[in-house]
Amino acid sequence: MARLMIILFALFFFVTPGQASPKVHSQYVHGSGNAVTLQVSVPRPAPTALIFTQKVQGGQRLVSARPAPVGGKLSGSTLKWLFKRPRPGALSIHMQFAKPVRPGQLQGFLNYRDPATGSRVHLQVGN
Amino acid sequence: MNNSGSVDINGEKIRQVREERGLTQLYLATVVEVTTDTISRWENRRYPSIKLENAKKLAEALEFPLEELLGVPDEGAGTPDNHEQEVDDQTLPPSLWLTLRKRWISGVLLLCLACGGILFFWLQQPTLTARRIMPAQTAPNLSFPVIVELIGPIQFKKSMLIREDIQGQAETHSILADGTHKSFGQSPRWIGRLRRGKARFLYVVTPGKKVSPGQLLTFSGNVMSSKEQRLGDPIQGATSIQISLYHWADTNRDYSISDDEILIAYETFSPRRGPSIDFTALEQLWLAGSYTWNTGSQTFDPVPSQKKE
Repeated sequence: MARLMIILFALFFFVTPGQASPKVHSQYVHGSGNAVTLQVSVPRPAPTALIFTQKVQGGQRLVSARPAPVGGKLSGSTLKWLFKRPRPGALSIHMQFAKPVRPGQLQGFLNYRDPATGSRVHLQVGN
Repeated sequence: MNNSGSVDINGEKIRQVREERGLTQLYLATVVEVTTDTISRWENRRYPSIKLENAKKLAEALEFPLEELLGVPDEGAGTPDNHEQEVDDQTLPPSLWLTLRKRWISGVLLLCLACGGILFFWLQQPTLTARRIMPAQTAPNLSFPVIVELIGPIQFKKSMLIREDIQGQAETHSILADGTHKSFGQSPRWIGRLRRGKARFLYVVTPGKKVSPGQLLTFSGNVMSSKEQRLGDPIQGATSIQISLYHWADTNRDYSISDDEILIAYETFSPRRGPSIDFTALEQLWLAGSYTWNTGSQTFDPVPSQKKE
């Protein structure tokens, strides 16, 4: 009986309300030459907005990106993409750099707010 | 006569004597001081058991010897069918008390069940909660979003009238599905329904250019549903917004729109479906990293040189 009460207590407080949504998953896929594709898996429910921040460091330079970052400028050490109302499923950014990119060289982050809890989620893109 | 002070009488004999004498049941009932139903019951039972006192009155009323009115039950006739107790008697046998007590308990249980059913039905009645969500501050001439969020039971299907009134120098409009605006002045009104127990009504408020920092715009409103529902429930939540020289999305008031602040703005004020607010100007401030108030144009200008990460 006591065990059942403990289980019910745990279910009531830890499982039902305020459960966080599944997290967004992301990774870089290194293509031929200087091309790198960021692949993002958006879970359901999707966040209302998603910010991807790409750091461009170590003498590297972004030549082109599809879609283009916010503002359209490719220069600078920090580039941002804002995805509004992203749909659940796959999302990708195709980037072409000036020099070949080694795996692990790129550093990028995803920011969004968990649609279920409203809490901030900050993730580093997995290489 | 039995031990409880009652006697068994012969019902058939009583009816016979009464009819021979041309007496009515009402007459007997009046003399014996019982009801006509009791007289009828005595006559229709073979050997009803009645109080001795009533038996004597009955005999007097019939002008007939009591002894001849008494019945002698057959062997085995002492069943409840043949010996119904007199209901009008003050002294009731234990079996009747038990029966009455059972009926009383059943009645109370039924009453409790009925009350429980009414309470359950009442608790199941749809209740609606309305909450207003808006920023804490805005600037003169800077439009800001307001959301009225309604939550109710999923089965709530009735139409609702949402009314808002704004005190202060401001104009309001809503964004229609085709992207055009519908002006409401200072009193936005909508008619809508819940979808899966929820509804959100988004509108935009633009303070006047002449409002001064420190002034407040105050909001009041209510939600009316049908007559069966609660009428005019007030909209809870934020009731005022302060005029300041900070952007409404700049929650920490540092003249910078951070990633988190723009995400909060989207999460809070951008509906997942339907028309949404144009956040282009806000995005420019966010991308620039910092902003400043332009007194001449009464707008916020992005300041790229002060960009913050």
